[in-house]
Amino acid sequence: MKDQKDMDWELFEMLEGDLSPEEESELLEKINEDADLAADWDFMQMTQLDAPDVVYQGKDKLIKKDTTLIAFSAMQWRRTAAIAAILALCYPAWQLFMPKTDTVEGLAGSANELVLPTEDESDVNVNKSESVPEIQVAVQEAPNQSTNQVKASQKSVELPVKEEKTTIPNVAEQLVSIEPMRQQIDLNPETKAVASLHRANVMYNMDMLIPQDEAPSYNGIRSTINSGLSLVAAPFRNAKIKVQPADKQSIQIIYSSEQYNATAMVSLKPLK
Amino acid sequence: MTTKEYNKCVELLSDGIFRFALKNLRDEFEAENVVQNTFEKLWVRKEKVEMTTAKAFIFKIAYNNCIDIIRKAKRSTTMDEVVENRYSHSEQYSDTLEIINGAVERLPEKQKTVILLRDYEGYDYKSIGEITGMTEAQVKINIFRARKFLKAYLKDMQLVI
Repeated sequence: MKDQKDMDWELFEMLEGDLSPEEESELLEKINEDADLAADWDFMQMTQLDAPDVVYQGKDKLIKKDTTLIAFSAMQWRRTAAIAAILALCYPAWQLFMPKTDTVEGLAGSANELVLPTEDESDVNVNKSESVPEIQVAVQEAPNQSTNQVKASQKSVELPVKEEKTTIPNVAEQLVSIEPMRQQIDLNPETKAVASLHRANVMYNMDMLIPQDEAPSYNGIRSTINSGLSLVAAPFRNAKIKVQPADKQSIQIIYSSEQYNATAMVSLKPLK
Repeated sequence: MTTKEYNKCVELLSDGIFRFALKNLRDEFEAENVVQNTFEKLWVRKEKVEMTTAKAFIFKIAYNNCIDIIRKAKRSTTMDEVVENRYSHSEQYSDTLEIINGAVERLPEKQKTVILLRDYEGYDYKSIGEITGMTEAQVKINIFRARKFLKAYLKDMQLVI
């Protein structure tokens, strides 16, 4: 006669499906004959757990985006190469006949909104000379006004110097400084907002911004400079601002809104 | 394993991992963390994991994670405690499922893990051994002990009710 432990083991083996058919039929016969063993078998069967329906809600966060590589056939490569070659040949001609419009537009009011780096910033070179260029500041009236009207309405205004230094956010602080300048503005009395235009001498550390082994260029300094231009543009919140290189040492800033349309020239100056 | 296969694993296995962790840890927040950690690790090692072995790999990570959490929280119960608790039925059970769930909570961690992997996920002894680091014989004996305990618990509960 087998003891309880052995019987439990046999019941367990049958539940797990580990008994041979003969062993199983023999055990089932015993279960049918013995009520206690039948009860034990019932309880043993109840120990089989049913998986509850549980749903993990954060699946979407775990899913990763698929990145697939597009394989080009030999023919596609040839076509692509041909198109690239044609574009490369056309580019100098396009450069020759098209005006340089390296402009970025945005809303004034935040440094980040002012300028986004463009792909082609390298075509305007900065002269990396020791000489400090003169500050050029001028405000012009809206281009949609006639020349005669502009001349008649313009007069010179002397604005006080604002002494406070400007704080420039993040890394640009070490590389660029904005120095408020005495302002000599030609302004249109119709466009009063222009009177509050801050004038700035934008200075930057050319050595820091442009590696020594590279030719001096506007490339790479543009976004840094424009982080400082938020001050210049501050009175022109909600104005559309367009920043573009005017020449090798200055930036032209065009403000425009329903009320005014002005152009400011800000010169670049090496930071000492 | 490709990204697509990884995503398929998330779809197919995240519920199971969550259920397994939830049952072991009895803490929804911790269980969610286990699922996230598990799939993070799978993503990092996806290049080395084959789709065919992914399920065992994932459960192994989840199991180890659960063990770490349990050890940290000192939640593990010893068999002595289980035996001690066997007759202290303070809860009011409404049906057999609740009784079984209560009994499973009283199982030692190893026995609970193996029986959950066996019944919830349908793993064989070999796979459970790979996940838990036990031999097949150890897995079988732990499942037997768990079922024996559950059977005795159910029998006792029936007498009480």
